[in-house]
Amino acid sequence: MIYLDYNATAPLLQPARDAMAAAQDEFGNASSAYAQGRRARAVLEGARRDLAEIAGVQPRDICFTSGGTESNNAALFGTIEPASAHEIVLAPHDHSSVVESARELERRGAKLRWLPVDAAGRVAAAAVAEAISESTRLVSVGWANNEIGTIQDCQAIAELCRDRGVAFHSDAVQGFGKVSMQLPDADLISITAHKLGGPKGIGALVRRRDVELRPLLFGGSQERGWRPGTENVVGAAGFAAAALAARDAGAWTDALRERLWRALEPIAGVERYSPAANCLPNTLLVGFAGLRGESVVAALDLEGVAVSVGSACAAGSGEPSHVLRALGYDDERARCAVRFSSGRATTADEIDRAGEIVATVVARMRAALEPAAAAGGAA
Amino acid sequence: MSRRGRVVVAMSGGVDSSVSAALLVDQGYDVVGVAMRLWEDAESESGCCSLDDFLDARLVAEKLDIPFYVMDFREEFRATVVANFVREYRQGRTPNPCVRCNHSVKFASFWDRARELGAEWIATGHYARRRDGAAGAELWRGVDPDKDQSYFLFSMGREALARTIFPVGHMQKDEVRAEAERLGLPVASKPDSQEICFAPRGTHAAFVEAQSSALPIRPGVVVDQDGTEIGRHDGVHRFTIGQRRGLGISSDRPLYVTDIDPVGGVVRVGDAAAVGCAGLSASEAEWLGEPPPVGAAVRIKIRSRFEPQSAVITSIAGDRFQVASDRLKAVAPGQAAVVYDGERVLGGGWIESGVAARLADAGEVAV
Repeated sequence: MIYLDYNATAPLLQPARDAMAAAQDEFGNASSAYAQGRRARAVLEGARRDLAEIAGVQPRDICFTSGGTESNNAALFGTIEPASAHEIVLAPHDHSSVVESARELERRGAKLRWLPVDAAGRVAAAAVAEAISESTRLVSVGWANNEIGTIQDCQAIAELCRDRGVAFHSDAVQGFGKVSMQLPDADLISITAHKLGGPKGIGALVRRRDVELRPLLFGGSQERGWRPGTENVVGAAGFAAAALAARDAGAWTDALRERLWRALEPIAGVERYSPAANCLPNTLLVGFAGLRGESVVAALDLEGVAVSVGSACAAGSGEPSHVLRALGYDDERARCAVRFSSGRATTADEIDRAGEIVATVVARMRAALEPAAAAGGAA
Repeated sequence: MSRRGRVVVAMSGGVDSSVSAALLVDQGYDVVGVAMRLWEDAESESGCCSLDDFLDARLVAEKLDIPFYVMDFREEFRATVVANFVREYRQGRTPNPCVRCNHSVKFASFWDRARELGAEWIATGHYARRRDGAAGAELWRGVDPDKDQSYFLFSMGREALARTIFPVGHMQKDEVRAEAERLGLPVASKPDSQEICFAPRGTHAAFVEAQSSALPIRPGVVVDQDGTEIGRHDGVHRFTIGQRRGLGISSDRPLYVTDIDPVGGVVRVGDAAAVGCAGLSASEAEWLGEPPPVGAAVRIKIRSRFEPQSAVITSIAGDRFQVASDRLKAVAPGQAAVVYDGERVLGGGWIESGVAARLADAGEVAV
C-alpha cells in the first residue's frame, strides 16, 4: 500500500509511541495534590515546555485541546459575542471547522466578511486591510490550506491586524511542521498532533497575546480555566515527542511533490490546482478532466494507493470541494479534485510507483467508458 | 484477481443488497460495495440514503471484508428521477420514480462508475433473474411472487442486463433473511423499504408542492361523468387514476378518479365501471430484444401491485405500442406498462392513456 493522505492524518511516529507508553505509567490526575498527580503534572508541563520551545512560543501560551477542530471552534466562539454584531473577517476556503463555526456564529447574530481569494488560493494582505471595519473583532486566515496547499503570508496579515487593533487567528494545523516549526505571529493559532505523527485527540490553541478569550467548556480550572477537563497527559507527551521528531527531521523540500507532478503531467486532461510556489511541500491537488474525484479515489484504493478528494472532514459528503469553489472553479471541475499528500516516510520510489498506477488507472477509467459512448451509452 | 472477475454491488444497507454482496463473495467474485447517495433530506438521520443506512452498508462490507465506497449520484437523481416525478404529477400523471431511477441512474450512471472501477459486472438486490438465452440476455421475474421486482427493470437496457447479476432473484424473501441470519449480517431483521425513497407514503403531494415554488400549483374542480361540478381540489398532483380515497366528496356510492385534465385543472370521477379499460397505449417503449409481433398474446402489468393480465399486442409503431385487454382497471398515465411472455419480461413503455371500454370498438383512440 502506498499512503499519500498525510494531510488527513499520519501514522504514529515511534518516539511519540514511546513517549506515550512511558506517560501511560503516570496514571495520576495532573491536577491532584499527591505524588502521582505531581508526576503526571511534570509530564504534562514538560510536554508543554518542549512544544513551546519548538513552536517558538511561551509555555503559558499553549492551551491543550482535543485537536484542530476544537481549537478553531474555541478561537471563534471564544472571541465573538454573537448578539453584539461582532464581525469576523475570514477566508472562504479555510477548513470547515473555521468556516462552519463562523456560519453558526452568523446564525446567532455575528456578521461575516468573506475575503477574496485568487485562483491559487491566496489572500492578499491588502484585501484583509480593506475588509477590517469598526465592528471587526477577529480576522481568521489559515496558514496553509489543507486541500490545495497554498501558504498565506501570515506575517503581513499579523502586522496589519496589530496596527488595526484586531485579533488575528490562524489555523496552522497543516502548516505546523510543514511550512515551519515556528508558528506565525498570530494572536491565536490552532495546531494538532496527529498531522505530525502524534496521536489523535490532542491539539492546542496557542494564545500569544492577551486576546480576550472565553472558554467553550466550563467546570474546571485546568489549562488556566481556558479548557476545563482532566488533562490528556499521554496525548500531550505524544504531541511533544512528535513535534521534536518533526523538528529533528529538518526542513521539507518540494522535491517529492514536483516528482509526482512530473509523473502526472503527461496524463491527458490533468489539471494542477496546487500552486507551484508558496505551497505546502507535500501537497498536490490535481483533477483529471471528466473523472470524478471520488471515483478516482476508489479506483486508486483498489490498486493500493490511498489518496483523498480533499479534506476528510468533507469526504463522503459528495459535495464538490468548497475550497475549489471558493477559488472560482465550477462544480464540474471542483468534483474532479484528487489530493495527494506525502509524508516524511514517503520515498521517491513510492512516488514513482504511485505516478505509474495513477496513469494506468486514469487510462483504464477513460477506456472503460469509451465503448458505451460509441454505442450511445448504456440504456 | 479473482477467477470470476470484479463485480460492483449497489449496497443500500438493506437485507437484499447485503445478502447479494455476501453471495457474490461466496461465489468467488472480486466484490466491491458502493452505496449510492441519491437524495438527502437535511433533517433525517434515518430513511433512505441516510447516515444510518450507509452505516449499515459499511458494517456489512466490513463483515464481508470487501472495499466499500459511498458515491454521489444526487445530481443525476435530481435531474432525472425527481424532476420527472414532480413534472408528471403536475401534469396529472402518476410517475414511477423507481423505474426511472433504474433506467437513468442505477443501470446508467452507476454502471458507468462501476466500469471505471474496473468492474466486469454489477449486481443489485432486485428480485429478478437474468437468463442468458440464445439471442442474448433475458430478464425474468424473481421466483418469489410477492417480491418480484422485474417490473421496475423493464427499461434497464439489454447491454446493462447482460452485465448484471441479481443474486437473490432465485430466492424467496424468507430465504434471504435466513441467509443474512446465517451469515451474521447486522441487517438480517431490518424491515423492507417499500416507499419512494425521497417522498415517503402519504407525502408525495407535499413533496410536489415543495418542489414547485417556481410554478405555483393551481386549485381546480372535481366533476362527475356528465361534467357537473361536484367539488373542488387543491391541485391535480393530488390525484391518480382509480383513486378512491381523499377525493373530498361525500357520496352514497364509491367514486373513483377516471380522468385528470391538468390544463383545465379538472378531475373527473365516476363509479367502478368507469375506470375499466379495454386496453392502453404506451410510449417510450424499450424492448429487451425484438419487440413482440402485433397479435402476440402477452401478459401486461400496469402498476407495481398488479398481477400481470392477459393482453394482445394490437400495434407497434416506433417507440409506441398498444395492447388490448379486458382485464385492466384504473390505467394511470405515467405508470409503466410492462409486457411479459409468461415469466419473462419482453419490455414495456410508459402509459399514455387507457383505451376506454366504450370507445375501444370504434377505434377512436389517438396514439
